[in-house]
Amino acid sequence: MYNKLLQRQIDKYLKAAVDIPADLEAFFKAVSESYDHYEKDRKMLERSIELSSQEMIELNKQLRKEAEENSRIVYEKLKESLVLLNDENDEILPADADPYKLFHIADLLKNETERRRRAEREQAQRQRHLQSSQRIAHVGSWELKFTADGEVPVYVSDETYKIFGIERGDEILTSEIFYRSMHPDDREMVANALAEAVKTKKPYTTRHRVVLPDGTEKIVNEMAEIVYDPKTGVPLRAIGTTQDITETISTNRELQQANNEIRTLFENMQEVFYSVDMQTNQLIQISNACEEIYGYTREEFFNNSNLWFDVIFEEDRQIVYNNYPAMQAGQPFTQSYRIHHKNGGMRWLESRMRPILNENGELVRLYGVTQDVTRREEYELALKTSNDELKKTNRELDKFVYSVSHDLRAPLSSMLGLVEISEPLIEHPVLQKNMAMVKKSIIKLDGFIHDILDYSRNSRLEVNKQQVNFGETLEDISNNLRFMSANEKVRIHTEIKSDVPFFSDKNRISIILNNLVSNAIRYHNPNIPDPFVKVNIDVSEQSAQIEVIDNGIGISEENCARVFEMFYRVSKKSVGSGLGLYIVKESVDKLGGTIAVTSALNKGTKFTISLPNLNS
Amino acid sequence: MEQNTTCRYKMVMIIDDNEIDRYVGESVIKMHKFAEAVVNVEAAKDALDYLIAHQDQPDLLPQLIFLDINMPEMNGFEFLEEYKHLPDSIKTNCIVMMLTTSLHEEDKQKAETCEYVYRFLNKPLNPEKLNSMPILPGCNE
Repeated sequence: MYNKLLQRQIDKYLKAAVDIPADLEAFFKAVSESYDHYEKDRKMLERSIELSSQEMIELNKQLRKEAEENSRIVYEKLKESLVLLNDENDEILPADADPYKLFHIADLLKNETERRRRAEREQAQRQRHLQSSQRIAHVGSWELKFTADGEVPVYVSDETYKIFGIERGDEILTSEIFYRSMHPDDREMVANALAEAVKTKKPYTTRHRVVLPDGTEKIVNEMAEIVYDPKTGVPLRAIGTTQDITETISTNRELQQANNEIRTLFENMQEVFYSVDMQTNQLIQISNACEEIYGYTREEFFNNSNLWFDVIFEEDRQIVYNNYPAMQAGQPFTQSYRIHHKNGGMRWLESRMRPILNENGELVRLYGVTQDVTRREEYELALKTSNDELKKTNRELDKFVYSVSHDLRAPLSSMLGLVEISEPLIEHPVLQKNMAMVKKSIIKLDGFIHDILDYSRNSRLEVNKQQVNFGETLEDISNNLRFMSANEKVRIHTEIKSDVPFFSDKNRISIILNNLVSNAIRYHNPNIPDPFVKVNIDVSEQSAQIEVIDNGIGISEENCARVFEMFYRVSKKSVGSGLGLYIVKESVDKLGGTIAVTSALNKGTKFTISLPNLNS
Repeated sequence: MEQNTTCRYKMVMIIDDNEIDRYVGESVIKMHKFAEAVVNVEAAKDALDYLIAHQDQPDLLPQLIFLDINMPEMNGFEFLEEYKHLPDSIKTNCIVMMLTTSLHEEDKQKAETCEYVYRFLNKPLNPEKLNSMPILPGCNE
């Protein structure tokens, strides 16, 4: 949490919904802390200054008045008593003086002494209070008497000594020291202020620098009242305070700097920041970017509270109305509409709004950040158009690939048919051998077209999510592979654990399993008695774990790393196009799954696939 | 006909625009004594005409039709649409096998959802594929 004042500023200029960039966060934190300190200091200062500047002068005056009053009363009383005494004895108290009268004087004196002691205690208390408040506020008080020889300090508080960097006792703070401590450049200014005060008979206030004996510089606020002789108008005394505001000033300066930085930041952003008082519908703030985005100046916005709405395209105004309930409910919202720029052009704007409710739930304030998204909208439109075109091209391409593959495969299957019906009729061994080679070539070419078709469709077609029945899929695959030459030797075991429905792309799963199983059959080990391929499938809510394990000829370690590469063929024995496992990997990727292979030469190969269950 | 007692089917129809595929199909069927007679038609329309013309002559109606998909004028699926509306006398004792080079999964799914289609096969027709055909009741194997 930032300082409230800063938070308000951030809310005002940035939108709270916007995440503050990490690099700005440290900066904001520092600003927030300095706000905190400043607030604490300021409160204490304010309290103390209040106490010191006004109460203290009052207090001083009162004390003085009381002291004078006290002396006067005592003097009157004594005079009265003496007159009483003198009534009977002219000059000296006679030996036979009335004892009562003597007692009366003694009583009087005793009472007076007690009263004075009490007053002294009270005064001491007040003095202590004064001292602590002066210490807290860094305010010193003093009183000077104007004499023929210049000003002579009558009273100087401890805090005053402290401010001037002088130890009480070491040196007496004379008016000479007062002036000497003043920064040379400020002396004239202070003298002028004093002269002006004397001339106008008004209190004076100055802010000047003080140079301490150790050379440090301080900034002080000095306030003083001058007491004049009521008859002659000659200044008699000056009663004043000196306040050390060095810290306040530097805090203020830091704060100012932070403030400036934030301001610069906001003013230079391309977005328009603004706040509106929703009870009076008055614009409170708007940043300069409005001139760029709307073409209207800040003044124009201030003069017309509805300007922002008037420029919105009529057909887009409903968007604003639609967000009215959200605004009334204090929910942040974003709206996007077109406006007529002052230059006549169209702009797409996007406004992120943050309404503020008071404790009664009434809308009081609205903060907004508006940015020009014209180019983005244009890009999006262009993107959508080209995307539509692309989709169309894709469909056409799919159709094309389909036709081409069909037209390529059709004559191949005719050839295969012819070869197959001719085979039993051929008796010549060379012709038989040649015919077998023709057949092999046809099958290979057909497989290649098959692969290209699979590849092309996998790379272009979206994932078609549907429920997958692994049992059926594997049965189809076994049926299709039945006519593979080696198939009668290789047994296919399947084990499927599937308690929950599995959703994915049936076609791609079929391609994946078909490739892996046919590979296992194609590369079985002819030297072992029981070549097999095992397919284990374990379906859960999250995924399907598929293992295709064989005891075939295996793949060497260095080849394992490359089997998924396009057109990579492991060995001379490879008979395929080099596309099969590449397509498997691509298909697994499309389905968001993973595939791994482990293998040992002459031992067998194991493919492990994990496919996510797209059931959500 | 001397093969009368050993053939699985009496009459099989091949609908394919490709002359070689018709020839291969017929040769395989004859060579393996799969059917007594083969009716070869090169267009789906001709097949419909034939079926309608012989609807009252059960001996001349096929018990099995090998149907290609990609054909000019009327393709295999369009044929199936028409076939649906043919009289039951034609359909009751007949099954349809799709025989095509199509690798399109959609074609396969579409074919398998049709109630008259028994299976979807890829060309070429060979003895293994013929052996996977159902044995018709009343046929003396």
